Amino acid sequence: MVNENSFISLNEILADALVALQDEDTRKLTPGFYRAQVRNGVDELGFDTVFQECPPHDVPMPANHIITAPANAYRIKNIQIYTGSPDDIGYVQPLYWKKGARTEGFEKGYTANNHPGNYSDIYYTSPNWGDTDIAYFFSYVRGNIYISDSCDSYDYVRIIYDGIPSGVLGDVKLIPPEVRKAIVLWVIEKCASFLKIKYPEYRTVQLDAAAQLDEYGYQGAWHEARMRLKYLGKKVMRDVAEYNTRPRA
Amino acid sequence: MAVDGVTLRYILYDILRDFRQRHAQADISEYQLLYWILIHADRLRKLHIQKIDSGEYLVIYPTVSVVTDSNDNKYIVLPARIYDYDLDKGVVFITYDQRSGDDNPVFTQITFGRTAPSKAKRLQYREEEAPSPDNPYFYRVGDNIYFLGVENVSMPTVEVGILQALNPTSLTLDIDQPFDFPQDLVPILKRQVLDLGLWVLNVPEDLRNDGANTQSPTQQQKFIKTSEQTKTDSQGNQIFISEQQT
Repeated sequence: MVNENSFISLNEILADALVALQDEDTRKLTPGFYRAQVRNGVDELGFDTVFQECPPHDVPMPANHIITAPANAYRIKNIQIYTGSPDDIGYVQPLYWKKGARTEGFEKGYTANNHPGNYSDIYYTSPNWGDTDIAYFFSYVRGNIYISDSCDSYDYVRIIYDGIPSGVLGDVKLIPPEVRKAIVLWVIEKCASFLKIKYPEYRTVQLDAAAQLDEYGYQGAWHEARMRLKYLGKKVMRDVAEYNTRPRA
Repeated sequence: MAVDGVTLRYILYDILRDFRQRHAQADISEYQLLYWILIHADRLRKLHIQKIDSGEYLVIYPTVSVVTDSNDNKYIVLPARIYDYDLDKGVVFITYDQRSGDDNPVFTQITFGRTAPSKAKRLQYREEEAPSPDNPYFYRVGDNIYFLGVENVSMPTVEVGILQALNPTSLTLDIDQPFDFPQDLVPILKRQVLDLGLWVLNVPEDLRNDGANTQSPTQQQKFIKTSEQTKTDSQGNQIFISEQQT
């Protein structure tokens, strides 16, 4: 947990990488190409581990019950519906994902193998986990979130998700300093691999960077960065431990 | 530009004296020798700049006029001949000529990236690389430098830094000015010019067209290699002695 004021920017990564690649005048590859590699590296690390905590995405319940997933979202972590408004939240209900549900929207019905109207199938029968008419579920197709009809009495949908970091990565400082080494090495390795065809000396640079990075193993900066990002703060760790070891009734 | 140091006149008459010691009747004019010196110096200078990361030979033109052609392409004409390096590195930088608020030179902020007509299409594929006023490009066509990304920008002039080549045919060359050439390479320059001159003066006899019958069964080519040695004369001056090896 690092204060965001300590974060570093895309340009700070480039400042290191360009020296290592001996292309400070960005003549061998374009400046935009280098910037794109930093974004790619940040994204790769973001896909591997929780890289960027995005603020909750609150959407008023749409009339057709179809919500477009937030821009840059690549991993939905939770969806809740609630009454009230984001600054005055009332009753909260978690939404559950229903396998295979397909619908065209509110009050248009839906299909699914496990469906309350299915009485005769030999494998699937009506769900027995409650009244399916008030089931709160969603399905997800091509970036759209379809919310079941019974959610209509709620006012807002809250989506909690992990974002693709580069979606908001510009001159803003958004890279935690604990992953700087991994991103710099990732950029050096990738750029050297692009340059080595014309400049064979970059093969050595690439191999050195790849060895230090060890992207698919456990001995390099990539794994170290993932571990650092997963590490909880002391306070959080202690509270989790206390919670898990509490006396049970 | 060198502020002091050896002048062209020093080098010119030094070499000319050596030639005349070896070939008293040599018909080599000062202009011819100056041309030899300059073309060899240009080549050595090019190699030197390529090897040494230095600003010694960087020439900055703060305001080069931007021209728009009939197809609305913006370009400049290079203010001088430049060295033809890989990736157009003879153009060290091009930037807008307007200073920003913090008074840092603009080339610390935005410089034109380098591209080529055959490579420019790919730049459009990605947002980060697409030409724009914030991310402008240049490409070279002969003596013209064209721009991409600034089509809709008012840009009467640009600032250009180039690695300017020597001009062996300059009519305004002042041989009494310090020669803009790495002084540590003057001995190599002298040696190369002497090699060329002595080779010219020692053209083998059988390459001369004297009208003689040369239809012999086995005609052998003679190659003559020249080399110099130095020794000190009675007054303590260092002089060059040429030797011929057949």
